[in-house]
Amino acid sequence: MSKQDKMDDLFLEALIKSDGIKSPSFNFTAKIMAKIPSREIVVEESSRIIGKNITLLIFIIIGIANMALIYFIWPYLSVWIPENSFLMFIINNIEVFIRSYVMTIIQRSATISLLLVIGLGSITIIGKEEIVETYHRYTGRAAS
Amino acid sequence: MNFREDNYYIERVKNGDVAAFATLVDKHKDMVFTICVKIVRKSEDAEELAQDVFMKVYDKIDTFRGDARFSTWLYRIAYNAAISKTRKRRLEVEALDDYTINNYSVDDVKEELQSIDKEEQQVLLKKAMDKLSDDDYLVIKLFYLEDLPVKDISEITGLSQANVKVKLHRIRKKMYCSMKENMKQTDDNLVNL
Repeated sequence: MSKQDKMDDLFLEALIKSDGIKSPSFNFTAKIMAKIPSREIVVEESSRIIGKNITLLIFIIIGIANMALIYFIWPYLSVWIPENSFLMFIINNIEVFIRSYVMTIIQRSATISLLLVIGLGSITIIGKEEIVETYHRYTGRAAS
Repeated sequence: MNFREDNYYIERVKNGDVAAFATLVDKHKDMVFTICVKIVRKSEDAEELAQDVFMKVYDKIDTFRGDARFSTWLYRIAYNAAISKTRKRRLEVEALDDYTINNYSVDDVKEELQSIDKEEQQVLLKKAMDKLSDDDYLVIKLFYLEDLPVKDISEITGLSQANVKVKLHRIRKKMYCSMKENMKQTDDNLVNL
């Protein structure tokens, strides 16, 4: 049948097209996809435009430029901040806050370290079994 | 659902996008299932076979170069798989020796068909389609429903292009003949009432 024949026979074509085709079960695609082993996911690593050192340098320059800017405009900037405001309180006491925070961290770390040293020293001197037995004796359970 | 061109999904599957394959399955599952069910007959077997076909296609998709249409490639795999499963003989061209088929005018039948309503037309078509052999049914569906050119049907079925043309010509005539006979029978029944 030539293309022309097909064009001539649009009537039959329309009839057949309206008849449709058969369909498989509704979860046909899901069944197939469940059979397909998932391939390794290809992760494309984005290419870096600049290296780590350059990035660090840029951050340092921006940081210094920021600090310099604030230093020079501070007399003009501080005029606009109310004297008894919370922001001014923070700015004036930031050093104290940081220092006290750092001190708290150090104190806690030192305490925990001391306790650990005492614990490890006790185990080494007395022995693990002895400590466990003493513990069970006090709690009233038999040592295993 | 609106689908894009097959090549778009194929490229994505080749790049590891498994979800794109689901779209390809959705797009072609009906025709693959129709091919399978027409050859193996049992619906359950056909569904299992259609699944195997898609799995095979998934495994081999890297080898698809895009010289032919994806649908042609897919249907050929489905057709070959169904034929192998049933060990059925391939399509053969029957000789055009049927006097009844040739001894009427297609235009007359068309005219008669156009005079009846669409529902009746569909009933007549259904009856005519049911009378077709499985192979004939498949060829006509591929040609009209999938809009596949003769060349592609020839690739799928393994028939020469000339043979496909002959087969299509014969099927068309057969269908018109069958519809005419059914119309005549209906008219006779009405007269007898």
